[in-house]
Amino acid sequence: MIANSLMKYLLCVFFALAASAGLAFAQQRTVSGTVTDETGEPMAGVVVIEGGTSNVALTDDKGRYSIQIPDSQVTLEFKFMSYKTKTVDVSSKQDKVNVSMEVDATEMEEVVVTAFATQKKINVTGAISSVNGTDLVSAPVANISNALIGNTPGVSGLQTSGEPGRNQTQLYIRGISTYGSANPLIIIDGIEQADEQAFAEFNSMDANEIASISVLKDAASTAVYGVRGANGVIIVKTKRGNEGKPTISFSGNFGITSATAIQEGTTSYEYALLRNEAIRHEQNSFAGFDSYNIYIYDDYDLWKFKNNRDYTPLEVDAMTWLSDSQKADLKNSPALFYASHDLYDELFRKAAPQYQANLNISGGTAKVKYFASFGYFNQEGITRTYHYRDANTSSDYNRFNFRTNFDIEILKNLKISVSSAGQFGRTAGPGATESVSGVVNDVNDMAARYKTLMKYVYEANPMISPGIVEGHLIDGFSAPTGSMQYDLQLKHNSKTGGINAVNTLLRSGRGILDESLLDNTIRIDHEMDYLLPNLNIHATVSYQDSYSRYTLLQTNLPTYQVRRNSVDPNVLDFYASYREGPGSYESYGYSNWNKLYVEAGVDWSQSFKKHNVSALFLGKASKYTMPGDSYHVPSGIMGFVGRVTYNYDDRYMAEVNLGYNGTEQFREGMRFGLFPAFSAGWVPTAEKWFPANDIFTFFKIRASYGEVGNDRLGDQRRFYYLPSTYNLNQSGYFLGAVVGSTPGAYYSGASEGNVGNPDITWERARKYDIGVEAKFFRDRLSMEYDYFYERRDNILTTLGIIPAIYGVEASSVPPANVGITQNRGYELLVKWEDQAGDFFYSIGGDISYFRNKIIYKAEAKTAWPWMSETGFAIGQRFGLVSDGLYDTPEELATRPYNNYVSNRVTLGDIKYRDLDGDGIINQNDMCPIGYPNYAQYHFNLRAQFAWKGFDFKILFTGSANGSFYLSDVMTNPFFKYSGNAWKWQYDGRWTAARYAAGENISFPRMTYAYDPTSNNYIMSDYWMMSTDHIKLKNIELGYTFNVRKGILSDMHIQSMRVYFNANNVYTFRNALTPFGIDPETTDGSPYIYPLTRIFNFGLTLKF
Amino acid sequence: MKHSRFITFIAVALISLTGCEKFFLEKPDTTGTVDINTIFSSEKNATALLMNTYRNVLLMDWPGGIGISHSTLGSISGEVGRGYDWHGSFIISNQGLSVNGCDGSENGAERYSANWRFIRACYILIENIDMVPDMDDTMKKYVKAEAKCLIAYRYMGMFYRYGGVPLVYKSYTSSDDMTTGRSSVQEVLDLIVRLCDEAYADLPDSWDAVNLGRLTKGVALAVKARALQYAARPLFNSATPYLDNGAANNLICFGNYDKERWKQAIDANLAVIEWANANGYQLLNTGGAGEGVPNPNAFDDYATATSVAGNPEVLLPYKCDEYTQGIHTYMLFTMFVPDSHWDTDDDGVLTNMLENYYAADGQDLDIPAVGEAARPGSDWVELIENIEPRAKADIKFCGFDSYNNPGDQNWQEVGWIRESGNMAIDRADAWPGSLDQSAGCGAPVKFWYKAGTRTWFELPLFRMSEFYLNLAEAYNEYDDPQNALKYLNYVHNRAGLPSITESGQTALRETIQREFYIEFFFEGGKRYYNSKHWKREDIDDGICGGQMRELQFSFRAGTQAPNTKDKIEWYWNANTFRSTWHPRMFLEPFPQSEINKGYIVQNPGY
Repeated sequence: MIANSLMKYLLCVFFALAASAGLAFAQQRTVSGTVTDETGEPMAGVVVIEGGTSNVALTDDKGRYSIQIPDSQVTLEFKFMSYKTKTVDVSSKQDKVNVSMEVDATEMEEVVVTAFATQKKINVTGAISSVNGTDLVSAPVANISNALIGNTPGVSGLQTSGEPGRNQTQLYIRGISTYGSANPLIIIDGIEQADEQAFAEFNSMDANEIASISVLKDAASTAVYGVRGANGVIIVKTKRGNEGKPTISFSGNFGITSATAIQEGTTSYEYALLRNEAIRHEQNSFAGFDSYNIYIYDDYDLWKFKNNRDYTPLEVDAMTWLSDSQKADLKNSPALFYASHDLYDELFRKAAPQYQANLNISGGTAKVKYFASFGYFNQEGITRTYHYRDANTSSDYNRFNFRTNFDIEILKNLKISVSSAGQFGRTAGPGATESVSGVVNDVNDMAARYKTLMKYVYEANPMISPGIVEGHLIDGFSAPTGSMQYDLQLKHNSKTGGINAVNTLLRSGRGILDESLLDNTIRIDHEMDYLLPNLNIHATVSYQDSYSRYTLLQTNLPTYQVRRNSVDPNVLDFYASYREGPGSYESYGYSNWNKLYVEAGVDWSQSFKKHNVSALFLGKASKYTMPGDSYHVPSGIMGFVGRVTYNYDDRYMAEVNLGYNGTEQFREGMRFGLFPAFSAGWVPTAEKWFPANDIFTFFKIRASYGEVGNDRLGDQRRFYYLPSTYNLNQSGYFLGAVVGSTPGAYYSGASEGNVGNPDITWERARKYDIGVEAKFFRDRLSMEYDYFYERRDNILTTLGIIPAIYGVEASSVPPANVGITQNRGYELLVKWEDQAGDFFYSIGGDISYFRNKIIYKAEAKTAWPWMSETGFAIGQRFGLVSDGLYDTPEELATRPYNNYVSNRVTLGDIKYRDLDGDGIINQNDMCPIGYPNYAQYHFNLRAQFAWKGFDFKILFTGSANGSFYLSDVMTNPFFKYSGNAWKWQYDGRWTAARYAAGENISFPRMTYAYDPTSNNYIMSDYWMMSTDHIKLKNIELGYTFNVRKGILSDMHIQSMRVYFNANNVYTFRNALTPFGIDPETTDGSPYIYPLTRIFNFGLTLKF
Repeated sequence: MKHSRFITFIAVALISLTGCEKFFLEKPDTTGTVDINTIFSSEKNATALLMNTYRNVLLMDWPGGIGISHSTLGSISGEVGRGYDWHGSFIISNQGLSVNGCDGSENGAERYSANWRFIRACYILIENIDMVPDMDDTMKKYVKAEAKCLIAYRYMGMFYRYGGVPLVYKSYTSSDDMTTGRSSVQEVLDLIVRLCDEAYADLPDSWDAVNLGRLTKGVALAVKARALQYAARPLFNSATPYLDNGAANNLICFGNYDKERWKQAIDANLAVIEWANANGYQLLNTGGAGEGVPNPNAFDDYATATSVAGNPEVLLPYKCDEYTQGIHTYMLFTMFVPDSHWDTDDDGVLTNMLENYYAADGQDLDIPAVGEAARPGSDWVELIENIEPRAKADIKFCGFDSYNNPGDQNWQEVGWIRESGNMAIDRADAWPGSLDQSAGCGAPVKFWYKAGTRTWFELPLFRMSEFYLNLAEAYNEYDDPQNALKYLNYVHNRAGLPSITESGQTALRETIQREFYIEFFFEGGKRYYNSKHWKREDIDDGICGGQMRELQFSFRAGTQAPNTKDKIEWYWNANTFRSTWHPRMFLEPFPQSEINKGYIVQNPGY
């Protein structure tokens, strides 16, 4: 509500300001002059801007310009690519101003945030890419992980869900290199995030707080993180204050979210046709299905489905006791029993609002600098809200953020930085009651959540039952024996009852997840110039604390059965099936965690003529405590970091990085490891012998090698190093005499438990990277290319080769560090940046590619090489290879025996290849099919334009060589005999007639009886869909207003920008389009909450 | 000076961080964690390990111990119906034994890896029991002997299932060489005999009342006797194996026929009987009559021997007296425990089994053949009323009250609630053979004699009649029909039947095997393994494979429950399902997942 009225207020202000801006008026004068470069040559195309406005002029080819400005104007700005922007004071009312431009050296000295430092980009020898805060703000999404997609090469990910508060992306850097945990390490303002909560603070950050994000990809840049660096590192730097008067900035946004893709269902008429067809085909194919005759919809049923009527005109006319008007009403009355419901549509609405506001202030004096930001975000979900009683099914995510960063110079050489951040989120939505993992109401069990929601979309059908009729929540038809609906129910043969998706949505209750996170950091920097010039020491302490609680509110809703009145069928009768009762309130999953991080270090840098040397040494430790952990032992990590860099004249550079650290995961003596990395770079274009020219202006080559570790061993138990355990109080035995029914004495048992492996250690990655950076045409065209190769070993692996004679239960055999994988690939980035007059533009794109492979996994030898995972990609799926469908009886007659379904195969079924040629389709014919879910190629294409006050950005993303497996829940029609069927099945199914007519067939015959005829739903490549796609990911159009006079100026507003932007805008047709699945969805669960797109309007005010 | 301050700073920083290791890298508190030292630190804990080992080792061939789990081996050897279509037994019946088990896991008819887990526990006991401070040396000696005998018991089981298997002599550590392949059947037999001999030497003849149920010398003899009996039977005791296994024939047979193997079996079985008689165990025959005379108390004696805990015929019971065990659930047919009794719905007694029983006068039963006209219900009543006592103790026949819980409503038709046979009520179209319910002619109620509402029973693992029948079989093969008949009739007469006089070796062999089938109906998969080791010619014709037949009953129109026998109008015999058999199934397959590890070779044909 608050957000709503706030929005209204903002919109009013916005229109008032926009109107007033145009009314500005003042006395004018003309200023003219010549612009030259350092050598005195005239410069064409220099932009001359009336300071703070969009009034511009250009210099001609003689360097001359002329501009009309108001009398009161005090400054002019002169801008040109690669030159420093000059601001000239014109307050003395002179009309002739000549300007000499200087080459901007700082632009060449773009800095990059690296581990524990910032470095000039030219001196960086590792593979690091960065994203600036403004690009993140352009994607109006809730999560930073989603905003990162498309903005930097080498980072990719998929989303599990589009539900507010649960729609983050699982990010991977340079793909996946291990079958253990592949989470990257996240660093926020120098603080390592706990692996257990890798994305917790990151994803809840307000994009307006972020100054930049660096992605560290190779060993040279991540080795200092030692056992945590192997999967890459993401470093987030938040904004801090600069010296100057306070700048207040406000932004407000209003957006509309909607599903990017929704599956289209069949109408009840189509559904009935399909089911009849399925039953008849099975009756013709297999013996024993005669009893299914009672499930066939007859011609009258079909007429009623088609015409949305419960009675044919003849039936109505036969009701002689009705008056003519009653008969006429009944003939026009839409069907109750024969209706057609679009269950997706009843569950999801078309659009939902999203609001966001941020207010931040920054500034400072020589002694104190500050930045403070306050943000609010609200996103509503697309599940429908039914105002039925007090059942609240609305789904939304609310978040308040604050962040304050103070830098205080206490003494000339002593600085204290105090940073605090808070995130308070509330995710509310339909309650999850279904248990998939065995834990009822596990908030982290997304599969369970969406199964609760989606189950009755899949398991119900278009006519099974209406949701709400005349204000009554319906859980089925009242169907007394002999009535029309009784016969109809028999035909439906529903095993799930008369429940549809609306009913479960309303009855699922409302689950509320409250989460709060506080992050406080104090850092002290001390310059020790008195010892050695440029010697600094620092110390940091940080404490993060998070609480969360899940609450489930359930109202006990009254539900009804409905039927038509037997005397006047125009009247509906309702019978209560559940009375209204007291609601229930349950609280689950109260949890908290906290993390302490300390760091202290010393750094030094010095230049000796052209030799530049720097060194860094620091120690750090962190301790993550989660009281709920079964071992009651915090996970900790501590270690030392060392670095030495050297460069000569920005021409030759070299670095040595060392990480030495250890974790509690391993036994003493095995805990600490040394992770070294070496890198070097050379800039030939800086050599004296390199001819200065305008075409090939910059070239750099760099290479790195290093070792990094990964102490996170996947979802396995902790402390494998502990000795083997035994369990007491296991099942035992009885001894002694039995008297009557009384057994002898019971002796409880003991048995061997977990077997330990004292040699357990971290996974090790050896990474190679070689990169080139080049610029052409006076730096307008820039290009960067990295090739990487990585070999992981010591991957913790369950030993599949230990014989059973070991005598230890397979699940207790301790894993060992034996797995080996490799990963290789490249990233290529190209960008063209220029200006034509006052038109600035840049177009660029990047491609990243990775391809991993399991080299060794301690698998037992398989009968055929294609059956083992070794040699294939991580996450490779295995299944049968399809070879079209059985179209003719001749093909069917000569088929191999199908072991999976007792050989029950008929026309229109999927034909599988008998790979080993033994005449039997069995597990020996399962081979790698498709690609893993994570694609190998990712493309991004970006363009940006700016002209006068307008700015425009567009981003396309895409991927190739990824697969999505459609599980049988999605593909099998008539699940449990009366589940749903889909439009794409209707349109693409095999029938003898459609085959004969040469129609497009993309789906096997319709199946009715699930068990004996499930030939088509054995895991196979038939259901492996390509995720290759191209998407218009983000688009943004903005306009910045002149602010000279009027209301804005009176309100001390310096500038105002209005904009429209959008995220996940449009996906070009791809293999998943017919199934209503966004290609950036993970395929882990068949129950999918659709991903969403957002159209957003916003404005930014600067005071 | 300045530099030394700097160095001091660094040093302090380093030391303070190093000193923090305990704070930041905590170790789990392992006090209270039970490890091997804790287990062997007290007699109580060591006994707990022993008790868990008893429970696990001895559960073999019975539901819960076998891979098919929800059913009995009777469901794949023509005794009872094959179970629900998701039962392992149904799948095996449908498609035969498979290297991937009946559900894609390693389970065949028996869990292969379970053997090794339990053998490991035995070795851990043997290797560590000497550490226990408060256990006396005699008890330590007993525990070691018990563990050896338990290892022998499991090896015996693997011997008749798989043939040669790897020999393991200790509890492995993960760094040991575990590439031991399969040993020959001879080597496995030798190990079993050696372990039994060693256990026999150290085990006691009896235990005090508190320890009743633990292994005795008699059990060591019994394990050895059963193992030698299987060794002498045709499947292994042959020059040619059931399927050629190339160079590895010694893994699936001895490679020669040696009549002396029967002599070894005779000696071993005689030793059991001799020991039993000296220690209070006996073939229960309270009729008091001598040899050759039918026992007038046959019903009570047989029912007691199979059902009553602590009866003198059982050398070793399985004392797991709790109903949560699968064994009891999947062998309990009444409704009185609110548990998975429905699991047994499709496990009714087949005609294939019923026709083995004798009439009370020792004649064959007159059961209608398949296709023969339906007979009146009165004929059925007469047939069952005159059937031999063992059948009455074993089966609750369709329409009849159970004989073995007289007067108990739960065991009568009126309290039965469920169908106790393939019943057709108000079904004019029922004949012939349109019913397919797997409820057979009745429900097995063996082991529940006078059980009332007790929900568990003690499985008889070794019962004296086994050794008598073993001797009958062995003497017959050793060309001593006199002794063969003598030992056969001990069992036959005990069952209240007149003596058998048949003396032709082939015919007598059939008769002895039939006696095994009756005496050990539904008892630990004996029909399943015995039939295979006898290499029955008809194993694919109604025993493990082939046509299965069931009686079906139509009740008078309008019949209301209880469906008592007087309401049966007609009954007939019908073909119901066919079971799969292939000669490779003479021995069980090793799980494919184990074969893939490369240390053992598969049995032929799989």
